[in-house]
Order: sequence, then structure tokens, then C-alpha cells
Amino acid sequence: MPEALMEVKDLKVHFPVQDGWARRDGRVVRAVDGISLRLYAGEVLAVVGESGCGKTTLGRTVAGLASPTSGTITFRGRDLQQLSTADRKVFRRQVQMVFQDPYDSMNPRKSAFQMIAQPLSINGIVPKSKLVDEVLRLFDNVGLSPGRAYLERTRHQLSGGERQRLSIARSISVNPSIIVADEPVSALDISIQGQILGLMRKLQMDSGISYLFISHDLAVVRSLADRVMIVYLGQIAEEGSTDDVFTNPRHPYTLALLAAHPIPDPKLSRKRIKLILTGDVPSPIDPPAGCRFHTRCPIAEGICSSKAPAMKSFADGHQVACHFADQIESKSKQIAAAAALDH
Amino acid sequence: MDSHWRLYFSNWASTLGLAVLVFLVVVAVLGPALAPHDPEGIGISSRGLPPSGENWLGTDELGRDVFSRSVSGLRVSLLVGVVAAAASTLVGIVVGSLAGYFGGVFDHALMRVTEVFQVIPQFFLAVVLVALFSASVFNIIFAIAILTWPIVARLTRSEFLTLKSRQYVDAARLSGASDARVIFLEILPNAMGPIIVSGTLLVGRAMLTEAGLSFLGLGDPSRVSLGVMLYQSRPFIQFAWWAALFPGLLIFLAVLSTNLVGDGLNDVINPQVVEER
Repeated sequence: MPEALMEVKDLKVHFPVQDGWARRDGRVVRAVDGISLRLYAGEVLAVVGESGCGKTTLGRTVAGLASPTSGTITFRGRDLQQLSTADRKVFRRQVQMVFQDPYDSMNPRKSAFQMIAQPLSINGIVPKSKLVDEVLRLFDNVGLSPGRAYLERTRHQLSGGERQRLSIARSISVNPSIIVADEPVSALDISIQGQILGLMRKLQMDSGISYLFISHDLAVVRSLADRVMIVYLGQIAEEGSTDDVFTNPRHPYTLALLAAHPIPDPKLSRKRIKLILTGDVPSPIDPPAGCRFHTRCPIAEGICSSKAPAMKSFADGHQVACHFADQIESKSKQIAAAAALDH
Repeated sequence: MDSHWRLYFSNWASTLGLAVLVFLVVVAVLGPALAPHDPEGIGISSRGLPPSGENWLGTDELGRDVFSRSVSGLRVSLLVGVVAAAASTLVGIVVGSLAGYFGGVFDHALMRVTEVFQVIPQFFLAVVLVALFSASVFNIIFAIAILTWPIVARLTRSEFLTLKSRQYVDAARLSGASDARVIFLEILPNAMGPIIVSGTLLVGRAMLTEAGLSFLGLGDPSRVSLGVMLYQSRPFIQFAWWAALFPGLLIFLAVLSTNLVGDGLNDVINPQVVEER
């Protein structure tokens, strides 16, 4: 196994619940609650989960925008918590982010040129005299051409796709080794989504950037990711290669997510095991005891509400946090059959 | 920016306000050049004369020309208003942006300080401050600024609280921008709209406070403002009403016009409108 570019160990990010300045009752929102991951050079790791499961917080923490409550993040073998201020600045460049809302990620008072020139000049990537050339080269790289036409535009003079291309240009401007992409296409039209994903793939081929790709869109994940991590309430439910997770899911939550995703072919669709989730995600302030998923899990049994499942390992690094990961197929078939009878 | 001005001028009240304000500022700036008489020139034979061709707005109880005095009084009043509002806005911006951006204990401490100012009767505190430190233009400006900066600070803070979680702020941090750069180049320019509006409104408020203090006899005796003129002419209002009426009218016009301008700017700076350009 090659050495991981970035390794996250037992990361926890908790936010205190505060109502009013003097009232802190000790409760915390457990946004990320014990996630470990490895990101290798040149790979795309997708983080999938429902809204509020902590995937954005995970991304922000990895990028250094939020501080971990506990756990370690090592980048190229060095612990980020122990970096000096100067080293931290160097690290900052290495992990960049593409944000969910391309509109909100542009300062309304800045032109496209200023937006891209800022990281270049702060980090001294190119001398001042070459600034315009470099910005134009980056524009060209992300498919904004003719680049000169875009230099002076502000965010309301750009389309959603153009804005996201700019965001990507900004993130690659400092030659990072990792890009955290937080739902980079979910705010875009479906036709534009394809273009942006194509662009991200192309950049990855060209420069070998690794992506931590945060999404709830399974189709997008399947088309782009090498590995997938399914997250539920701040913890990992299942992790493995994209193929394993999609064709051979072993966690009931993964099954339910896949079931919620339409398959265009009715024959395939009929063959699929249908697990339907009911209810909402429980509050991350007060997560359920035992397995966090048991309150919504169709195959839950007594043990699930008392004992948190350990990670079980299967072939090719496929890992599942479920007591019944071995018997998932038979169990879920029973449930699905019973549900079909009810109808 | 063109469409901004078009929007501003589509409101006749704020257009009128701006016209009056510009007129008053020009008069105040030209001041001495416009005054036909020495504002301090007293004359026994010319005491309490009604408005005439020689003394357009009449003379006061010491024979001083009311028009000439009003022009120089307007100058002092506007100066106090603008400088006090600028000082309080500047302090408010610095305190508010630091509190909003860094949050935590610092924020709590600063906000408690602003609350202390908000629960003390303001005018009373101004009277105490000026009475303690002697009545000079500088002390009056200082007292007004001390009283009003918390308004701007809280406004700036609330703008920062919403703006600091914008994705472009995160993006700037990832670009390696320092805190100072993020505060002053990323967030503050986007927070300036409401701050400019409140600063404009503060100008009128400061002029009123100054007039109030002067009317209570706490004006700077060496630099006659409109409020001081009101104070001095009050005992003689039965014999020379013009000596009180015209400075009073000028205060009214100046405060009203700054408020109208502030309201007009408020409409223009409304973020929805700006984005729809």
C-alpha cells in the first residue's frame, strides 16, 4: 500500500450548543464523530450522506477551515495540529476547496480577475508582471474562453456554470494536491453538471490532484469516484471501492440510499432490493445509543439499540459498520418481501 | 453606478433633501465670503432691528447681523455633525468588525459595553460629559461620538456575523488571506452600505444633540453655532423673534435634509436592488 497523502484518524468536530452568551449547557452538536479516512495521491474519494450528516463539516475541517475537537489529521505524514504558523501557510495551499454555491463563493465586489489574482499574489505564485497571463492561462484551463472577455466580470454577469469554472480555477491556481469539493454541482442545471464534472475529471487526469468529493448525488459519485464513504450522523456506515459499494452494498443505509435512487431500466429496477427509510435523521446533539442508524433501520434487532457495531472488513478494503453486514442480503430480502406483501 | 443614482433620484423627497443639503453645505463652506456683515460686530444703534434690505434677517439684541451669524453658525453646526458622525462611525466600524469577526469572549465584552451605553439616557450623559470637561467644540464632538458609536458598532457586528460565513470568505482564507485582509478587503466593503446610511443619519442626530446642548447653555461660547444663537436669543424672543426663528429653521432644514438623504441612500443600498443591476 502506498503512503496516504492525507490521513484522518478518529476525527471529531463538535460544536457547543449555545442559546445566549452565558448559557452553555454542555450539550454539543456532534457534526463529525469519529471519522477516519485515507486519501491517496490522484484518487477521488466520495463522501456521501444526507443533509446534516456532517459531510460539509468534515470537508471544512480537512481543509483547515474548522478546528477538530479531537483526532488527528496528517498531511504527507505530518500532523497538522503541530505545524508552525509558516508551515501551516504552506499547507493551506495544498488543500483547496470548491464550494457548493458558486454564487456565494464569489465576492460581489470583485471581478473574476481579482478573484483569481488574489491567491496568486498572496502566495507569490507568479511575479506581478505575469499576473494577467497566469489568470488567462487558468481561465483557459477551466474552459473560460476567450479569457479576456471574462476578466472584468463580476458574479452577477456570469452564469452558474461559469461561476463554478471560476471557483475551480481559483482552487487550482495555487497548485494544490487535494481539492475538497463540497457538492460542487448540486446547485447547477443537469446539463451544466456534466460539463463541470468533465472539467474536474480532466484536471485530475492532467495534474493528478486528489479529490475529496462531498455529495449526496449517487449518480455523480458513481461516475467520478474511485472510492466511496457513506456517512450517517457523523460516523462512517460503509466504505469501499465505488464498485463494491454500489454493486455489493452491505450496510442497510447504503441499500436504502441506493433504493431511493431511480434506475432507468425497469428490469434492473425490479430486481433490486427495496428498503425504504422512514422518518428523519435524528438530532446530532443527542444521537441514538448503540448503532446510530437503528431508529430508522428496517432490519434492526435488539442488539442494535444497545451496542455500537464495530467496523467489519471485507475484501479490497470494503468496510461496513453493521452487526448484520454478513447476512445483509437474506435479511433485507425478507424485509422487502414482507413490505411487498403489505401493499 | 448610474442606475444607483437613477434610483436615488426617482425618490423626490431624497432628491429634495440632497439639493437642500448641498445648498447648505455650499453656504457653510463659502460662509464668511457670503456674510455681508461681521458676525460678531455689535452696534448700539442697530439693536433688535427687524429684517430689512440692510440686515436681511434682522439683527439680534446686541445689534449683530442675524444672516451673517447664521451662516457662520451653520458652519459650526455642520462641522460638529459631520466630524462627530465620522468619528463615531470609524470607532463603530473598528469595534463592530473585530467583535463580529472574532466573536467569543471579545465579542461578549464589547457588546456588554455597548449595552451600557444604550441604557444610559444619552442626552443626560452628554450634558454631564460637556459640563465636566468644559464646553468646547472638541468636547461636544467627543461627547456625541462617545454616545453614538455603539449604534454603528452593533450594526457593523451584525453585518459581519452574516457575512463572515459566506463562502467567499472561506475561499479567501484558503487563498492564504490574513485576518486583516479578510476583514477589511473581503467583508467590510460588503458591509459598508448600511453603515453609510447610518452614518448619514448620525450627522443629523449629532447636529440636533449639539443644538440641544447649546440651547442648555453648554455650547462653545467662542464658536457660535446655530444652537448657541437659539440660546442667546431666547430671552428676547418677544422683541426680536427673527433672531431665534432663522437659526431654528436652519437646524430644521439641515437635520431634515440629512435624514432624507439617509433614507434615499438606504433604498439604493438595499442589497436586492444592488444585485439586480
